[in-house]
Amino acid sequence: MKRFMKIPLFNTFKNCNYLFLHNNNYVSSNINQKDLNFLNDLEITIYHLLDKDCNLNYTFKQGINVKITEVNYYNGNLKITKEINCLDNSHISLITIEESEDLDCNICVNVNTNILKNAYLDSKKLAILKSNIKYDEETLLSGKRANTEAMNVLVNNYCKHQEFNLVSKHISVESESKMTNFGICKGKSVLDINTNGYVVRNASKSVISQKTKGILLDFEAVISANPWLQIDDYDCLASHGAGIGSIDDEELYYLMSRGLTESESSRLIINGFVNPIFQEINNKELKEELINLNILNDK
Amino acid sequence: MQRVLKIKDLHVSVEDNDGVSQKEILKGLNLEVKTGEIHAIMGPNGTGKSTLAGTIMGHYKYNVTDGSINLDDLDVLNMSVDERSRAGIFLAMQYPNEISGVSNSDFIKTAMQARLPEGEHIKLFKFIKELDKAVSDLKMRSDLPHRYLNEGFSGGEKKRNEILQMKMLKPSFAILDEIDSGLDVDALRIVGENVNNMRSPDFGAIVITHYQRLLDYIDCDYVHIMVDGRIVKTGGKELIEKVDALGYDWIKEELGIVDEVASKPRTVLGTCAVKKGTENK
Repeated sequence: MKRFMKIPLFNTFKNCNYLFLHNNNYVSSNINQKDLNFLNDLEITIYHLLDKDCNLNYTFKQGINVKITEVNYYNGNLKITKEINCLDNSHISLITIEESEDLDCNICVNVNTNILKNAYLDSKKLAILKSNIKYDEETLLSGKRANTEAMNVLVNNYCKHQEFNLVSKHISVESESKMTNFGICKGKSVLDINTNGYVVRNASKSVISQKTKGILLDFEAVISANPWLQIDDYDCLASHGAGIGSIDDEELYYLMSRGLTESESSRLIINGFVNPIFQEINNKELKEELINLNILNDK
Repeated sequence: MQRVLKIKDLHVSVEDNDGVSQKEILKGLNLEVKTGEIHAIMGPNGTGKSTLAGTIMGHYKYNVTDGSINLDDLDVLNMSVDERSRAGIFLAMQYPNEISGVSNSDFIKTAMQARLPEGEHIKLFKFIKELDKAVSDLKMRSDLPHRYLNEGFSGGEKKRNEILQMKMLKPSFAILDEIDSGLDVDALRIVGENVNNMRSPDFGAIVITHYQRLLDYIDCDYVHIMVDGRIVKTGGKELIEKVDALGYDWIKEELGIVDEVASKPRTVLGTCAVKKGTENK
C-alpha cells in the first residue's frame, strides 16, 4: 500500500467504498469486493496500479445498478486488455481516469465492451497520460435496446504520440450509441482520434451518433479526427461529425472582457470540457485532487 | 472620485466583405462620459453603435486607425481586453457567448477574484450572499447561477445574466449593447430598474438601444444620435420621443446627411431574359 500512497490520485480513498488492485490482483478494500465481478448494486472507487501486462475482466450481473470511478495508473511499457460485460438490464456508470507518469514508455490498451439486452453503459473517460499510447476500444451493442453514452476527454500535453481508435458496433435492433470526444493537444503532441461506427444488416431502428472536437493549444500540436460510418441497414439513424481548431476567439474575448487574462480564460474553457466528468465523481477527495491537477501542463 | 471615459476623434475600420480591404465604420466619433451619468446612444442599423461598444472593450476585429480612448489618464487603446475590464469597463454583449462546462457562479467568482490584489481571496459566504441577492433582484431562476455559462439560456435569460455579471463586478463604466433586445415587458422593467439602481457617483453607463421602451425605465442624462459613424446630435429625453415618433430621417435631412448606400450608383446587368407572348392569344 505504501507504493500506492505515493500516487496523489490514489490518496483519496478515505471517505468512499474503495478497492485497490495491482495488476488485477487484490490489495485492499473496505467492502466485500475483491475483484471486478459485480453482483450487487454498488458505488465504488477502484484504484488500479498497472505495471505489468495483464487482462482485466469486468462483469456486471443482470439487473444491477453500479457506479464505478476507476483510476488506472500505468507505469512502464505495457499491454493491457480489458473485457467489460454488461449483462441484461444492468445499468452501469463508469468514470475512468487514465493516468501515467513515465514519459519514456509505450502503452497498448485494448478494451472490448459487450452490452446486452436493455443494458445501459454511461462511460466517461479522462485520459491525462504522459506516455505514448495506442488505445483500441470496441463497444458491441449485441442486445436488443442495448444503450451506451460515452464521453472521452483526451489530453495530450507532453509531446507524445497518442492514438485512440474508438468503435461502436450495432448488431441488434433498437440499440443506441452516442459518443462525444474532446481532444486537447499542446506543444509538439500528436493526437489521433479515429472513430468508427457500424450498423449491421437487420440491426434496425438503431441510433448511432459520433462527435469529435479537437482543440489545439499550440502551433506545433497536431490532432487528426477521422470519423467513419458503415451502415448496412436502411432503418436507422446515423450521424457523425468532427472539428479541429484553436480555442474560439469569441469565447476567449468574452471571458477576457470580464477581467480574466488570456491564459486564465483558456484554462477555464479547457476545464469546461473536463468539468462534466468531474461533476459525476461523488468521491470528493478525488474530485478535489483532479481539479487541482495541472491538466494544461502550465509551467 | 469621479472618473471620465473620453473618446476623441475615433476612427475605426473593419475588414470588408472582400476579406482584403478595410471599411471605415466610425468616422471621427467624440464622446465623454463621467461616472454618475447615463448616456443613451441611438441610431439607425449599421451606423456603428456596436462597433463603438466593441472598440471600447477591445474586440480584435476592430481596427482603430485614428483617435483616442482614455479612462482618466489611462490610454485604453494600449490596454488588452482583460486590462480594460479590470480598469473598470464592462460590456453587456448583444449576443453573449455560450460556454459549456463553465458554471455561471464559478465564472463570476473567478472574474471577481481577478480584480483582487495578489494574495487576497474572495470571501465565499459573502460572495454567495451577494450572488443570491443579485439573482433575486433580477428575478432569475435560482438554478441559473449553477448552470453552464449561457448554455441553454433563452435570449432574455442571457441578457439578464449580463446584468447579473455587471452587478457583481461593479464596473466604473458599463456599456449595454442593445440589452433590451429579446426581453419581454416584465424582463425589460426588471433590467431597467436594476440598471437604474446602480446609478451612483461611481458608476456611469452607455446604453445603446433602438427603442424608447428601455429608456422609460432608465433615467438618461444625455441622448446621442449616431449616424454614419459619428454622433450627430446630442440632447435630452425629448430626442428619444422625437426619434420614436419620426424615425431618423428628419435628422439626416436637418444635417444634410446622405445615406452612403443610397448614393452609390446601382449596377445594372441588363436584360438577360424576355418573356414571349403565348401563341394562343
